[in-house]
Amino acid sequence: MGVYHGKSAMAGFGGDLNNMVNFTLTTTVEMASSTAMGDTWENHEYGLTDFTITAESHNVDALDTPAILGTSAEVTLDLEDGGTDKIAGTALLTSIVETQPVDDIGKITFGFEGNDADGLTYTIS
Amino acid sequence: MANEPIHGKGGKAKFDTTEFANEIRWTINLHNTAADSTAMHASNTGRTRVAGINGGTADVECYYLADASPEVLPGATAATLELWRAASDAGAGYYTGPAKCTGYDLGATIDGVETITYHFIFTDEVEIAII
Repeated sequence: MGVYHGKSAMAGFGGDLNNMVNFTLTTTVEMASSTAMGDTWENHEYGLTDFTITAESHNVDALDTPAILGTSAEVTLDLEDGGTDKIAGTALLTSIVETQPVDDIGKITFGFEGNDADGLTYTIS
Repeated sequence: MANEPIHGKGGKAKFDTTEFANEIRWTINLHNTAADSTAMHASNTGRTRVAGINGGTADVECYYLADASPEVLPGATAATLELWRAASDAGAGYYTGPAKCTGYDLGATIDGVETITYHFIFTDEVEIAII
């Protein structure tokens, strides 16, 4: 059974984000209890889907991070180089944390919250 | 050259006219508190959101400068905080924005150099300035 190595993955927000080192996608579905008297097990109904994405990159020069904070665009998570297998959805960029340490390359962590009435889309060949 | 990774060894931080001594790390945290705009609709699958107002905080961590008071005291007059990715690289860019000092943490351990971390909150728009 084939697998993907993360070295070939990529994340994009509008265009590609540069020098990515990792990303994490967390998906959820809200559940509403529909358990009633007489049931022998708890019942639940599906509600709305939601997702958050965290993506980390090396710090890069000339990147205007304040300009993209609070903007909404399609986030594309390529599972393999070439982008034929990917997961995508529109999201709002709600946090940017940049750290510059004396003993390492700086890092930027981008935090996204889902903003897509249609939910995530999956393109898998 | 754009999109080149930057080593932090060349960074610096400055508050008003004070360039911090013995810096070892700066961190900026920019945020936008989104508002949920999801409404009932038969075709809805996912939640939607609308952007709120931007805000930000920053920390500057240094080895404590001997024989001196903390370089910035909590409640100091608001001033411009600059956080440089690489002070010697004109194209790297630096964050700049008006900020207030909200406090500091001072730490001493038996096996390390004493450190101080200054905390700031930005009071207006933060920009990236590229020389």
